Amino acid sequence: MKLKRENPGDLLQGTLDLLILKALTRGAMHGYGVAEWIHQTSEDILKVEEGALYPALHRLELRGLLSSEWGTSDNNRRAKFYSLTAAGRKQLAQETEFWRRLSGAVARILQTA
Amino acid sequence: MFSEWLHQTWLRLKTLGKRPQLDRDLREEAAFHLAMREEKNRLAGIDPEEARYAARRQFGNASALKENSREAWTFATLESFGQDLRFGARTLRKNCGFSAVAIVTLALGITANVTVFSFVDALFLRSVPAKDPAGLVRILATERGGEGLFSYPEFSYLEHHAKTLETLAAHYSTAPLYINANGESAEVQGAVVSSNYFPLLGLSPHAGRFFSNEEDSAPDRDAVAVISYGLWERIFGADPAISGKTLLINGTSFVIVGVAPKDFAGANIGGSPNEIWIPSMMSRVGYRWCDGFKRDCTFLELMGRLSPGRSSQEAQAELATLARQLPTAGNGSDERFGVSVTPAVGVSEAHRHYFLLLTRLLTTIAGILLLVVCANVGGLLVARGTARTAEIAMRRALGASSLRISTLLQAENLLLASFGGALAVVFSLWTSKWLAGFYSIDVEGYRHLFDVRLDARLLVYSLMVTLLSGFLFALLPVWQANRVDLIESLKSGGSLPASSRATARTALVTVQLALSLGLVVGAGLLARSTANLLAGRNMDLHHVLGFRLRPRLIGYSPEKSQSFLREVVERLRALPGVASASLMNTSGVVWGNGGGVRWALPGKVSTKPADQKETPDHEIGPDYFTTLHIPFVAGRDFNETDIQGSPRVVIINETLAAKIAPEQFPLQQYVALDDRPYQIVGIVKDAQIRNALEPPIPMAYLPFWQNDTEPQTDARFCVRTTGDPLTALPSIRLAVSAVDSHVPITETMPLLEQVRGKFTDARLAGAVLICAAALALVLSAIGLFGVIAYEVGQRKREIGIRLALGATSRQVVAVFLKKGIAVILTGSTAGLFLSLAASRLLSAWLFNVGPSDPATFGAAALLLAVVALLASYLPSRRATQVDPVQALRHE
Repeated sequence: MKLKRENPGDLLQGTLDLLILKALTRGAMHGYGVAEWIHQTSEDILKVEEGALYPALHRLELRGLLSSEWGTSDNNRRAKFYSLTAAGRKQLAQETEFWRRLSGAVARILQTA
Repeated sequence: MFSEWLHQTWLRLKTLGKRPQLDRDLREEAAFHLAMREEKNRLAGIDPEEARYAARRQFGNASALKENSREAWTFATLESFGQDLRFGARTLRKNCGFSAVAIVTLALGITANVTVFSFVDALFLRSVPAKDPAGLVRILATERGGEGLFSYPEFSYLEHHAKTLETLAAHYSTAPLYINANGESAEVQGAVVSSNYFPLLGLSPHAGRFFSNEEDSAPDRDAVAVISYGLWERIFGADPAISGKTLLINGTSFVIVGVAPKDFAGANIGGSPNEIWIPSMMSRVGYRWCDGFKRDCTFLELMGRLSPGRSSQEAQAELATLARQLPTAGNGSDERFGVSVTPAVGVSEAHRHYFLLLTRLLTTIAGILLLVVCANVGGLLVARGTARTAEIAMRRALGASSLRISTLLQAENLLLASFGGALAVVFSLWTSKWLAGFYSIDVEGYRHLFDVRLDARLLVYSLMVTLLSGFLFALLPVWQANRVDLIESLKSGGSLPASSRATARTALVTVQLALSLGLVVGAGLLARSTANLLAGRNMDLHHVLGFRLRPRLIGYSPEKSQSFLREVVERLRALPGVASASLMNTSGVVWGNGGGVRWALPGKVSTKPADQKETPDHEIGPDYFTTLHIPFVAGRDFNETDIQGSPRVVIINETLAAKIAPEQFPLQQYVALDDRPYQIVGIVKDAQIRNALEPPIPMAYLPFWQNDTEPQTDARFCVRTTGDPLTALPSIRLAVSAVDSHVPITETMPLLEQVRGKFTDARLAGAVLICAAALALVLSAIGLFGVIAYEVGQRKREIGIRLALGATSRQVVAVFLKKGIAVILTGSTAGLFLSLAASRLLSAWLFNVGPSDPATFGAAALLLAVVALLASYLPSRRATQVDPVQALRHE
């Protein structure tokens, strides 16, 4: 999966942003942690090219949805930890609602067949 | 949305100073991720080496990540453009010679356009010199012909009743005032102004004061004057106690009350600067053609300031209504007229048309020149692009998008254009003065007010032309760069898919040649026209001095004037150094056609004047034709017996003769002029100055001394001198003032100077065209030279083979010359058609030469061909210097 440069209409990018925001509801996490979480919870269906995660994290941070600080990981390495801001939570709520409606609609259409 | 943008910009600005840290953070973050993944892979039992590679694979392109994140954190596009600019500057510095040539070429092209614009700016966009020019308007009388002027009663009525105007002032700014003061006399352009003229402009005097309302309230009472700073210095030695001093204006004594501000020269944009101002109540001193207080004597221009909150449309509506309510003069003539109100910007509407034609021509010339320049620089860039094929291909191979490459090249081109533009602004400081210099003196010897200077508008225009040219010349090279065939050019180590480049350059050169030929033809036509003007046809103006005696200005009666004029002619004839002298009524040979009379064959006089034909007429004294060297076809000149009371006689020119009697010369026949019979005593050749748009002008010459209906008071003189007319001027002046020292002697100029003054636009257009054509020709030659030289360079191997197989050097040269000739033929054929279609635009400035004059076209084409042939021959010769052995070994 190759992410193109910033393209807000891109479904994939939007999805990735959503997944990141969701991952961070569990508390501050470093990039690797987010990648692992997405792998595990999606049961390996969604394969993120891990490098692409970081530009997405940075963009979210720039938009003020995340904040970051350097800390120490479980195995005592220096790592950058991201956490949700208030704006991030609000954005997540909005996007989740949007996804529910979208997937619900798609599901209904598929059932009519 | 906006708050998000603000937040981003803030964060970006915050990182601006911490670039190294940002890079470190990014590296560290990636390193951490990789380490974690690697460890996990190892724990899953993969061998350490493989674990690391797998981590890398899963991570993807690390440098792309870095790029992407950096782009997020920085002002990427802007910064990379800055980088491009720096890179461009380095490239340009490295190719110093190329850059210099391109920059100077561009600068010349841009200069032409900026210069023409400085002209447009000074003529059409400059506000009247006033404190707050925004609310100033000009008011013109429309729907009654003339130049939009008003009479004093009309002005006074409008000034009283207009509510939409805060102030309404009147001025007559072309008053010829003949002044005597401090033992000096001079003819200056003055203005007759209402007392609110200076307050309207918001000026304060340099010394003394302006007019009070009281001083402009009773006709002929208050003889007060304001003089210009220049006059104050020149005639009064900048006397600080100037107020109260007196001077004679047209023979009337005036008291000086003030000195105008230093740089104030009146409200006449593109007209003559004023040097003296008198109140409108003194108009009888400054204006002599009709009584300045009569309703039908229109000579005043109106200027006003809108009341706060009023628009010029409202003012126009109100003034038009007022104009219809004006009390009539009561002589039964229809005096209705309309009113137009326009911002007081640029040349007044009355003279706009004349300057519009000229500026349109100049703009066209400058535009064509810019195209030639852009084609030339474009050609240079395409050629250089060839050398850079490898570099571009490498950039493309490393993943640069075509947009990115275009930006890179455009940054360089933008730099070139900017340097060119900056240089052009400097050049134009000089060239615009040169252009305005053409208008320094008009046909009457007055200076013109051309305020050419560098202002904000000029700078903005320069910037626009610069950007436009940057875009134009880069079109082809950038398009070419993005068509580079990656694989091919990388494989061949940077040597060319050259054919398309060569084609592009050839096309550019062909266009240049065609446009240049157009300019050369135009230049040739105008050069011939100017030469013809000065040479004259059927007349010779060399060594002829003209001047004007104006007893009318000092109020002489026609009888008194005529005896004075008669005496002057006699004295002039007796002067040593004077070959012959004559006089004419106020319109001269240079000035044009004078009045007009109706003519008809006697016995066929129609009762309806409308059925009769009109011909211009001209009153002249004896010896007029001798003085101007106008040849007689038949008959005799006027003599001293052709005076009032003697039989009426007329001399006609060939054109009129052909109209009166197409078959034979109508000598001794009678012709009715304004219903009175005249005997034709002489026929002369057509001596006239007319452009290609005008048909031959019929002319009836009448004896100056025979006019018994409207005897002349003023006269223009023409004096043929044996030497330089200006050397003879002092003795001529002495002779005149010996007869009567009070009569103003004005417009003293050699007739050739008058011609130069009258046909300024033709000379100016000619000079500009010649410069443009020369430049275009040189540029095209350089372009062609480049194309052929390039071709020779590319085909060295082929030349080597040819030479090795026994071709003579002449045959080899012929190969390339042929190519040159093909380009020249295509270019000049296109150019000839272009010129044929476009040369008609010049008609108004073409004197005694047609717009499709075959000689000029032929000469222009020949000139172009010779220059272009030379430009292709020189590089072709290089082909013979190819050493076959080396050329073949090289591969």
